[in-house]
Amino acid sequence: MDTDQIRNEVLTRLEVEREVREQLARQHGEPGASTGKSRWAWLDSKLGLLLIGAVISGVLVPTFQFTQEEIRWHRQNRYESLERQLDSMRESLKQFIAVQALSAELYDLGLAVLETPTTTADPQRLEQWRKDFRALQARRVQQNAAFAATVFYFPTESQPAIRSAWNDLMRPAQQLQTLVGDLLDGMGQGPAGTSPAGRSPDPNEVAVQMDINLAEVNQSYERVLALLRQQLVEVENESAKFR
Amino acid sequence: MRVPSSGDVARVIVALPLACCAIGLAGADVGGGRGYPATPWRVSGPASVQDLEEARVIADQHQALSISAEPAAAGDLDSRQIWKVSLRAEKPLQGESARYALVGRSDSGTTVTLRFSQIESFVVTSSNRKSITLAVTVWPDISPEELLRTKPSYRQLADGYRRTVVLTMDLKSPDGRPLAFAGPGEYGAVIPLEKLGPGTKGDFYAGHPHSVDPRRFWWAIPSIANDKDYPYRMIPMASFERGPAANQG
Repeated sequence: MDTDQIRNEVLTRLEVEREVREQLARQHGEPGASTGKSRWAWLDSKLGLLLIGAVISGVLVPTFQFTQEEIRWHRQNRYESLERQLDSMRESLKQFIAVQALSAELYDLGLAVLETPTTTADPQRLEQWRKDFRALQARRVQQNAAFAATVFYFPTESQPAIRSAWNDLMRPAQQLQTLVGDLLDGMGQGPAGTSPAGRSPDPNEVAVQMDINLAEVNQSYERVLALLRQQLVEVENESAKFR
Repeated sequence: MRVPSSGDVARVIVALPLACCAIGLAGADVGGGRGYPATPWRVSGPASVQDLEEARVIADQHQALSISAEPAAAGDLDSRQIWKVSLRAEKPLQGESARYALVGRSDSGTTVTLRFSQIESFVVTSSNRKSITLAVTVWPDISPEELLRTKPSYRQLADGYRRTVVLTMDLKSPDGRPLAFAGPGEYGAVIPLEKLGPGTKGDFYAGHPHSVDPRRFWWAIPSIANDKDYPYRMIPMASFERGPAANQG
């Protein structure tokens, strides 16, 4: 490369520099153009990038991870809590079905007593019935308590309705028990059993009354069962959301 | 902190069938067997027409009414099923007695009274601001005298003794209070007549046949109640399933 070529290149470069300066000067002269250095300009620097990286990896990522873990932990806790509640509710349902089984036993005992003519009821059989009746009474009290204690496992807002329906079931069930007890008391005290008022009860009336009690027990039972089942399904659905 | 593991999945797999079994058990009859027929003539049948008449008066007061969920016109009802249903003013006066019959006018303008104990179902055919027209299926359409004389079986009674009566009823009592189907007591279920739009069906035999009050079936004399097809039976039960249709093959 000779001297002229070098001079020309230097001139060309100087010319380019001059044009750049003029262009910058024009831009600075335009209205609204920033006159000073941007306050965020330091972010373009290596130090700025280093600081940003440090904040992201040292603060934001751990915070995000912690929040995620906390959410998962809450979901897990809720899921396990609902599963425990579901187990208890299923147990409650079992206890409730056992209550109905005792009403069925009472009804069957009443029918057996009713269908046996007083004259053919031997004392041993009568005594056995009375023993069975006393045992049924005791089991009924225990079973009622076993179920009543599990109502707490159902969602709080559903408990008053369950208790109300449960009380509606207790009334006809108690009447059925009283009727069977009266039947047994009447056995062996006179022809066809005699009521305290001295009048022999009409077997048809007694049988129909037992059926009426049973019908009411069945209706109330269905209402309670419907409530329990509805709550069970709702909690199952809730649990499925956290699975 | 832990997430559902394969152990949890296994627990769910085991628990679900158990829960299904529990619910399935709940849907079974606890008592089992065919049960005893639900009838007011449980031990002995009626001795006279008078006995049947007395039982019929009691039956009028122990019927159950179910209102269909369709059409949407009846959608805002608080209750759809009423035990021991009566027809009375929505807000009864002190000591006011309830009626246990539908009373209305036929097409020819004559007054028609249909006792609840002789109604199987009804369908609302039309209604306006003042009245409602029902097509009522009367069943069993048999008098106590004929019942005692012919002693039909349940199948014979179910297959016949049925007719349809169209009657138009006022929506309000003579003193202007809205009439309603209502249950017993001040807080019993209430279904105002004005909420029953065209197409709404009322069924007096929709309940489960094991949850019925035996006093309803005044007509279930031994020839009917001892029929193997008689569906209303007393069994300690726990069923969600609807029972067999009351009086259809």
